[in-house]
Amino acid sequence: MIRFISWRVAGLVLVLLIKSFVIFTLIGLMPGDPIDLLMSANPNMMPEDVAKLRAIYGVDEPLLSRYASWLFNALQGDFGFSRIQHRPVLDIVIPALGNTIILTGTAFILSTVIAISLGTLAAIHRGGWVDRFISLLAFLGISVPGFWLGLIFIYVFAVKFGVLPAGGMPRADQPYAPVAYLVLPCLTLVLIEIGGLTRYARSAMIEVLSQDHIRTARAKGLSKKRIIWKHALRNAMIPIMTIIALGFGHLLSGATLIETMFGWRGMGRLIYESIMGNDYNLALVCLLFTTTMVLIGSLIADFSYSLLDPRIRLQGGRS
Amino acid sequence: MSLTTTQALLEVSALSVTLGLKTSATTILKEVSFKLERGRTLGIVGESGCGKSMTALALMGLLPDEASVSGRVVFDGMDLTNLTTQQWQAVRGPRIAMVFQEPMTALNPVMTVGRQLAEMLLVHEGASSASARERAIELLGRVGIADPHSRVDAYPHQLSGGMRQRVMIAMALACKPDLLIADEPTTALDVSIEAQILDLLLELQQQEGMALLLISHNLAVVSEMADDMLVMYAGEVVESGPLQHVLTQPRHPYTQGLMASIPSMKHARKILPTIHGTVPNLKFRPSGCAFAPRCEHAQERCRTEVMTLRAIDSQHCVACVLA
Amino acid sequence: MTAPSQTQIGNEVLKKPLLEIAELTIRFSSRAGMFKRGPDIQAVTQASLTIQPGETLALVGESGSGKTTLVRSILDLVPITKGVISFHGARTDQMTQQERREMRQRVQFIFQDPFGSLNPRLTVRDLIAEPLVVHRMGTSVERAARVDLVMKQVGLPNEYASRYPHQFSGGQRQRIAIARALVSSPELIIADEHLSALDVSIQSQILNLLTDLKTQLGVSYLLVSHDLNAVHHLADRVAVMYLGRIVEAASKDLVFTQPSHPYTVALMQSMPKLGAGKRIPGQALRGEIPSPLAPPSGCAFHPRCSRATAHCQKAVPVLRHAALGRQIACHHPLEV
Repeated sequence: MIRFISWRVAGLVLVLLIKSFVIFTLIGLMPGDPIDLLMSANPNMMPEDVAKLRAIYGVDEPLLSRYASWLFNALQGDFGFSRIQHRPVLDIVIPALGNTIILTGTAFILSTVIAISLGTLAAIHRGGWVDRFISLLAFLGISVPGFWLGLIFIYVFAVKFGVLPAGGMPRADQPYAPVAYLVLPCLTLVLIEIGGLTRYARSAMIEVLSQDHIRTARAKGLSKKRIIWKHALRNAMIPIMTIIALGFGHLLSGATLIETMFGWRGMGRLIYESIMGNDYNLALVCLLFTTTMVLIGSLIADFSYSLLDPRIRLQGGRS
Repeated sequence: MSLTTTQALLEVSALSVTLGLKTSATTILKEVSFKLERGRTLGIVGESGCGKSMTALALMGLLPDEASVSGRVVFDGMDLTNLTTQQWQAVRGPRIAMVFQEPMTALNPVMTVGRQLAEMLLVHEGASSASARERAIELLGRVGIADPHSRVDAYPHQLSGGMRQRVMIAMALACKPDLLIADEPTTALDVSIEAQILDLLLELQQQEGMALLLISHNLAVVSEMADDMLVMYAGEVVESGPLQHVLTQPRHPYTQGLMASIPSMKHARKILPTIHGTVPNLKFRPSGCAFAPRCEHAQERCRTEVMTLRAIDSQHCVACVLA
Repeated sequence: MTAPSQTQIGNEVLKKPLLEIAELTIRFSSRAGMFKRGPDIQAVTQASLTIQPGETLALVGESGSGKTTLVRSILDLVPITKGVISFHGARTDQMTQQERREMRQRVQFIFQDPFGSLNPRLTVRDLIAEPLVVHRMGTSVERAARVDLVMKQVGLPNEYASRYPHQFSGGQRQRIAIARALVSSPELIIADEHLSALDVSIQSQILNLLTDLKTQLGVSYLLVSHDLNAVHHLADRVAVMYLGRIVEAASKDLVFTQPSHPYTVALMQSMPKLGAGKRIPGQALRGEIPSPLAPPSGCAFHPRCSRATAHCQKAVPVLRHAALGRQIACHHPLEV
């Protein structure tokens, strides 16, 4: 077990290294550099100043040595400065990460619970109107574009009825409660995720309910409630957990769009802004953080499978 | 099936089951009737599609929702065709229990064997988890599982096929039912383990005094275990009676053909008599006798008359106009 | 013990065996759980058999006996760890590609599952003709004629030729599989539990078919089965396997009427018999079949054997010749 974890952690580190290099290179290969931006902002700059600035920021050095010095600093915890905000990158990233976790974490829990409940309900009443209704909802959830949904919500709840803020972070000078700022972006994220997950939960449940041991459970005279909770769900969670853990990474990337739309100061928005603003230090670190989250998600997925299924966890005396 | 004045434990009359909607309805069971006394063993024999497993499921109320059931099933004075879900939960387990064919898939793979056993006692007898666990260990020992104290925490995949089937039997017996239905309990097991499980079933039946409904396609297994026998074909009972009567003097051509086609070591023949053709598709049930297309003795009337079980003597019944 | 290349049964004429398996050992490595490498599984240990032309040999055993693994190794479906398989005296490990292909033409397989072993996308005609195509036998006209002949031999009406497997019942599919096995005029057909998925009344039809083919074509069979009734009906010789070893091999009559190895005795007794009256509990063989992952020391059967002594726990019995052409691996066989 320990070997497995350390193997995967080593893999994680390797991926991060490669990714950091690739992103660094890609950014470096882009036409133009920060100094060009400065120049276009300030047309009166002299070529000597440009050269001097270039030397100060070190953008005239070869790519590899720039990467090497970045890596050297990064390993010591110094991720450099944000060019736009003039603050250490970590000071910007950590709070943003916190905000994203609040948003995606809440969305994650809500969508998981609702999707499993709806999927189970649909599976139990398979073929009936409950099932058809839920399947329709799921289908809508998959087909409707997230940004469109977000815009509709903003229009309806913020503009038309004014009950929720249109976006932004909680502020003391606004009449809305802090949690009100979370509602719309979270709702949008949940509705985006829930469609696919419900369908998956439904088919996992249908599969389990058709298995022989459920028939045995019925033959034992167990109540339907007990059969669903103690027998069916436990088995269905094995495939569902895998999908959920993988979806965690998906949720993070979806957050980019939603955060930007709603002005939620999280990692997603930060990635967008930093890339648009050519703030490479920041962009690089943000991307590395999200990569780590996704990889951790997949590690948990692998793990959950073996933890939940005793057939994988324990190879006993008999095959 | 003795006709005594006391009420039989289980009395099935004209049980019919159809699947599907009106126009495309398939009759899976047709007018199945039999009786089972307390403490006796009834063997149901037949090949694939004969409806023997369906009969068991019908008795337990475990048919799919699309199935429509008609006829009467009276168990200890109770009409089983009209039970509510609540009432069924009180019957399944404490009164009638079932053992299935494939012990690997019939047990919940993510729950320990002990907990699946203890569940019976928790749910039906309101036992505490501690006492339920104790009883579970005891039951495991009773069905012949060595070292029950450690086996109780094993998962099904850690046990052999024979042990899993013992666990299934333990689960079935946990609440001391009056009737145990065993649907092909040894078909998936090796011969030497099959012998152990059959012995176990016999011993437990004698100790508990319960009735046993044994379903098998293996005529030899039924012949070693049953007091009475039922032969089914295409969803109907074609012959029934005390075991020895049916085995030594089979009257229905299907029963005769079935017994003759089993290679026997005592009367080894180079060419086995066979029943030509195959089991009919139940969707297109032939009119008259379902076996007529394959029957050597078939006559015109076999294709037109409706077959019913007639008594030849007081106990032996045949559904054949020529018997 | 190496089986001599010529077997004598009583005063029978010396014949060169069709198939000879000598000291075959097949070992697999296993995994225990997700993270560890497990112990090796020895599926077959020092198994030796011969099959004469025209003979039907049945391989009998329960789970873990290794009979399926052994039989699959004959056609290279499973790699051999040690030992030699010879076909018509020629060692398979020394064969050229060409010779190997020829062997596959002359040794055909019928599998247990009549549903899974037929390609659902091929018509019956294509399925049966496939071995001919693969081995490039005959022109297309000759192949068509051969397919027709073989279909007639197994009792499949001609109009079935253009249909697909899913349109047939289990028994008919097994006939198709047999037809496919026959089409290349094999000398040996290996049938791995090919009856167990069939209904009893269908089994009798297939048994008759096999007997027919045996008398008409002189085909040899290597039958793997746990159904002792079928074995008794078809086999000339029977070899009994337990946990990878052959424990007894003799003519059918000897094995069924005068078994010598305690396991064979127990098997014969355990088999449910029609018309033998109600069962008397207490005679069943006790204990479980050991897992190939943790075989008992010495004789693998000793934990369950009523005749076992301390010696049986220490020394593995070797397969040796006994009277009447019997081979037995036991320290305390039943005297006959």
